[in-house]
Amino acid sequence: MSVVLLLLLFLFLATAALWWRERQRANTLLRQQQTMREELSRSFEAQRVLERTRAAAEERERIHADLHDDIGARLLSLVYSARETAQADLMRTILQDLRDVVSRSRGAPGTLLDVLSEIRSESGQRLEALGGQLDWQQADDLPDPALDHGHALHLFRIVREAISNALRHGQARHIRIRVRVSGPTLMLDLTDDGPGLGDQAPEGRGTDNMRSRAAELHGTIAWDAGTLGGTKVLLQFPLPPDTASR
Amino acid sequence: MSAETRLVADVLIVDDLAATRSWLQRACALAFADARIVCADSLRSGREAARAQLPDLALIDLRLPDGHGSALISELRAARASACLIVPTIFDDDAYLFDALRAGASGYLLKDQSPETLASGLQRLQRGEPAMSMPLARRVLRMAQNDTLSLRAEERLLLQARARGLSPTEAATAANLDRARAGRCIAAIYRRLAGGED
Repeated sequence: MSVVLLLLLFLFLATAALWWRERQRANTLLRQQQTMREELSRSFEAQRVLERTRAAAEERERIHADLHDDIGARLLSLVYSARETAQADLMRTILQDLRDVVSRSRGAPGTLLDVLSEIRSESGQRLEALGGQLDWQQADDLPDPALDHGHALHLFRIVREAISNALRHGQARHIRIRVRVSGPTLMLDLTDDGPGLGDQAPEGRGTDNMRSRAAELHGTIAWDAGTLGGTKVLLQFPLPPDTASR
Repeated sequence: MSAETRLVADVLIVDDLAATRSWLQRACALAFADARIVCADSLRSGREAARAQLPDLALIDLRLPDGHGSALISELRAARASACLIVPTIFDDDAYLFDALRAGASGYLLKDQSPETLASGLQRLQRGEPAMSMPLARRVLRMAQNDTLSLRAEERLLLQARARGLSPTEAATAANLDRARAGRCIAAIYRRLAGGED
């Protein structure tokens, strides 16, 4: 009798042990499945991000092409019908502004020296088209920190607007741009050979934009009478740390 | 190829916008007083015009309603090695501009310039002295860095100065070249880009 009981007990224990082992194995399998599922969804997510990035890039390319074909062509016809070179210059700056918005956000972010080179090239080309001259004076000891798209765009637009003002209000043909650093601060001044502002501070949407862009750069912008006559615009803003040269 | 005073008898202008065609036509008439100027508004009509009379100088827009201007540029280059093939463009960093240079374009002109400025640009191009924009100079320098294009010392100096934003005249001075010599350097680089010898 007790032998039968013992046998039954043994059988019960053996079954229980088997069941326990199977359960453990099933759990492990479940856990593995879970990790695999997570990995899969992670890679799906990565794929989706990749696709989104590609879609965004394609969209930007499409906007760029539209801009070029459509708006570019229409602005070009305005350049052609402009009676005065100043009007044509205005159309060119609109063309340039439009292009910036798209290409600044699609190109690789530049460093300070890259951006300054582009500003120099564009400004020189612009003045040359009007029979004017650019005198660019850049200090040799400038650092070359990376600038993000926003900073680069603000810097571009401030200088472009300052030149527009000089050409429009000052009838300037000779513009001097000096760039130097003082500690962590970049100082950019632009002096024209126009008649100057006199005592009045400049007003208008253009200068408001310049002020708010300077504020976005955590800097300041000021207008003053130039030492050579004309108007002097001084932009100062703190540079990001120069990580590349460390 | 090196003939400085090549005669420009036949000019072809291919652009789909009437306003641009007449603007470019004015510039061509200023630059080459006795030239016959033919205009076309598509790739197809441009090809037809070129079949009737192979041009000495052609201005070919890159974005045409029926295809890319680069196709016509490579056909005209194959038909006449000495032809002056120019891309009129709104932006000197246009993605298609580089393709056009690889297809054999002699250079480009910014089409928003005045007819007078365009005319002197055309004459410089016809003398074999094209310009190179800063974005193009940067791109060519990157190619030289990756060894996909070789540059002579004076060419490198010239392009580095352009890449720093110096004007064409300032860049030529920085590379110790006169403006004409700098232009011929750039022409040689463009020919190499198109896979030719200089």
